[in-house]
Amino acid sequence: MKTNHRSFLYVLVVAALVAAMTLTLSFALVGCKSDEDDLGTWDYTRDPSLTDFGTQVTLETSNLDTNFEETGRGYVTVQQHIDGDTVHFNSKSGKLLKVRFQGIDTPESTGKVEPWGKPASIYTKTKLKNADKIVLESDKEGQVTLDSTGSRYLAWVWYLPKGSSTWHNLNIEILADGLAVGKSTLTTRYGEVAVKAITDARSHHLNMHSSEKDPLYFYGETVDLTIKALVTNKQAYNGIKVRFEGVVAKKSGEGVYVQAFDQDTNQYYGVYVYGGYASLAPKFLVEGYRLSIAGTADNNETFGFQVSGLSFSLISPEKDDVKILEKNVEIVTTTITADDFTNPDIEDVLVEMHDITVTSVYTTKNEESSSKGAMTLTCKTQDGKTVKVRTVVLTLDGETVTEEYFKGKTISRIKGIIEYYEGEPQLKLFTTSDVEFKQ
Amino acid sequence: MKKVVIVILLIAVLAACLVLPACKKQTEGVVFYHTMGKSLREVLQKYIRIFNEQHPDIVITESAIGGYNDVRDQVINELQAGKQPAIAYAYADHVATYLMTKKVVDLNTYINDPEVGLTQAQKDDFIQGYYAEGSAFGDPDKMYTLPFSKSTEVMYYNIDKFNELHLAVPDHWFAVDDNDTTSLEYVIKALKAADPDCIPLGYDSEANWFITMCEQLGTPYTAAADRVEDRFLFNNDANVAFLNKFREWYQAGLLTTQEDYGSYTSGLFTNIKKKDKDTGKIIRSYISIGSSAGATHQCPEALDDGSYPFQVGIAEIPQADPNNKKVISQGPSLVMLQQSDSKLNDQAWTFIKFLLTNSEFQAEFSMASGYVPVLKSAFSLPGYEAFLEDAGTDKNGIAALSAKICMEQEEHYFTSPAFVGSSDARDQVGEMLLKYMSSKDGSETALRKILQDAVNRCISNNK
Repeated sequence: MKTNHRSFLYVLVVAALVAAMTLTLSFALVGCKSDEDDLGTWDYTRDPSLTDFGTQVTLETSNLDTNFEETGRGYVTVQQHIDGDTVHFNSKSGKLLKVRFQGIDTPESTGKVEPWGKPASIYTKTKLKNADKIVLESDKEGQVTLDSTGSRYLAWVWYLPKGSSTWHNLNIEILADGLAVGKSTLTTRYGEVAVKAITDARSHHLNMHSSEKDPLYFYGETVDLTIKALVTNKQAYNGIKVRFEGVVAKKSGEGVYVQAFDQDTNQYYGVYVYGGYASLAPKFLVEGYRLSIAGTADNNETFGFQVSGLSFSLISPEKDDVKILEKNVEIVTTTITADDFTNPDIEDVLVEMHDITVTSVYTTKNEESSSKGAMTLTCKTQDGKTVKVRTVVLTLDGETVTEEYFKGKTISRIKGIIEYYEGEPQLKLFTTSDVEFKQ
Repeated sequence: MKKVVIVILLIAVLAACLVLPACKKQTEGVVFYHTMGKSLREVLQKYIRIFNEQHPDIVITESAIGGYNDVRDQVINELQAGKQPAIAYAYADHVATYLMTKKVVDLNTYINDPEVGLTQAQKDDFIQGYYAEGSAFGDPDKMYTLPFSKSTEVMYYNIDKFNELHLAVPDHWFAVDDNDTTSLEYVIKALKAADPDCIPLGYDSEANWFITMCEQLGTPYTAAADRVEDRFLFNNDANVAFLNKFREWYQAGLLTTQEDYGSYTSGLFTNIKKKDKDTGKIIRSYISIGSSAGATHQCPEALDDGSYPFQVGIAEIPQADPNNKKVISQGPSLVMLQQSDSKLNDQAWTFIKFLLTNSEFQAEFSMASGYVPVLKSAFSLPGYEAFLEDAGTDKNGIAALSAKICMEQEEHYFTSPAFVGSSDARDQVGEMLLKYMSSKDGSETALRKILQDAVNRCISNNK
């Protein structure tokens, strides 16, 4: 009897172990993998026992065959994914619609990278990629509104998953899966459900509300390196926090080009550093300053390769804050010839060329382009080789510079940054003061 | 037998913990809800690290919730479920609502504690006007908030355009006569005459505008009365007088607001090339009234060559009486909410005290945000002095310039009475102002109805 009893208990223990393992395995198998070649890998599947908030609201489907920008509701197709809460769509009319998702704010994944920014970006991209149809809807019936930048439409994004006949509200799903916080959410047309979704995500500790770390965010120690090591291994350092030294060679928009000399190759290497809207950035990112810069390397299709996510302090700087090492440092310009254009290592370096003749000029005329008025100069060197110069929208005495300024002229000296456009190198010209014409 | 049962139970618990998210280790400790973006969170996280060097046993979980109203809505939602955070960003209106749950901690129980409280020097270091806001909830013996950072509204203007047209920076609203060159009315009309496509003035917050006008003119807005019907006083002849003037300006295309424009009006102010989708014309403003903490957004983006398309000036907003100035007090305070484990409240106090009596944190937060410090000692830190010395009219100096203008007005700050329903009043007057200005029916009856409807909604929402 004693033996039998013990056997029974052993069977019970084994059964419990098997049950536990099976249970563990079965839960693990529910998860699926969403692979993104350009962003990395992130595994997440919503627990089906949780409330489906995305279908708790209903899309008015009576008149979707219209232009969103005119009626506040209409079918669209994806033109370009930007991040978790921003996508560029094409409306039915073909118009480009830059759209910021209404009522939500996902962590950043372009320009600067924040924890859970990339998972949010993957989430949005995956959902829309697997959609049969997509509809944008304004918050106020029949009236489209813009976001705080004044350049992006605010919209609710609805999608019909392949094989489904139920419209899903993507904004609410992102909140419900803990990949965004609310943004003036309650007062919106779906505010009540959206706030419930946030509360639910928080109480279930989903994704950014969990104590887990974002698997796609670099939490490690900052890597000290040279600009050369960084830009010659862009993919290897993508997403990694790096620290390097260099001299600010050129200011451009909200960032600067920083360069440093490499003794081994006897040349300069450069990188674009984005300062963003940090109010202290302009005090540090000054031409002629030698800086110690720590930021996240980011190689993305929207902005190319850059370093962003900088921090600044005038009170008690920490190791990873940007530091001014020296002011009024001489900014060296590398003189190049047409042959040097084939050297990929001079990208983002300040260079100058001599004696080139402008043979033709192309001006960007697209009304919707932020580059409207920028020009591409096709030039011949003295030995007959062709090089391209791309200008920003240049101004002189308050007037926009046009093609006549350059057409047929010989430039004795031109200074700019080497950058790549559609795989081809070109010299980017920032100001007319960097050009001298042959008399 | 007992041992086996224990083994089975342990295995079951282990298995469950492996698969159920609820069993994940959640050591949230003191939860702090705020609205900070990445750069401000970095400042906060830096000071949490410093705090944890002194208090390694206290876990602080800071959490960005969205905007101020999102924090309010989330906290209300969680107060009902008993899951509220220990610390939250708060405006007085929000606290008045939270107080109904009786879960707001009276900070005086900590402030006046001989062991963990504030010293007299620490209390005196607060700018007193800000500090006093915490006890303005009906019972002067109770302190429900402590100031975190402050701002007010300021007037941004396009220096280049003003210089081109030889315009003075206005200091009062209404023109006394046609030659009253320092009135806003004269200036916006002159700007419109010079650039008929422009909307000269953008005012971000409709609610702030209405409330500020009531305060400047001394006309009734709200009162913390016992009867709900007696709390909403803004439908009166004096208010109609200024509303009619603003309506006249609006109808003449002289102004827009955030709700009217569909976005922060800084977008209109900084626009230099975006064309209106209907007219194809570049529409811009030359004056923008908004938060002093949003100065960097009022600066146009640097051009590709690094230069700025125009310089931005900052001045105090116009006044009804320049000798009796009034500007609205903005910026979050901190409120502490009761936790089921009182130890968490004690720890929350330790953190609040650390953060709000730390002049270095105050200075760093100010420089990163555009808000001004609430501690006098922060202004004399060398780093902050250097920051203010760089005050200027482009992106490099605009935040410092804004902070300076904001500080110079410290004695003119006002707050409205906070009570249950004050949040509704604010929402309603904001909506009402735009409806009033844009109403096609300009008859006295129709306009007066817009005002009364707003009053009625406030009453019905709070009955």
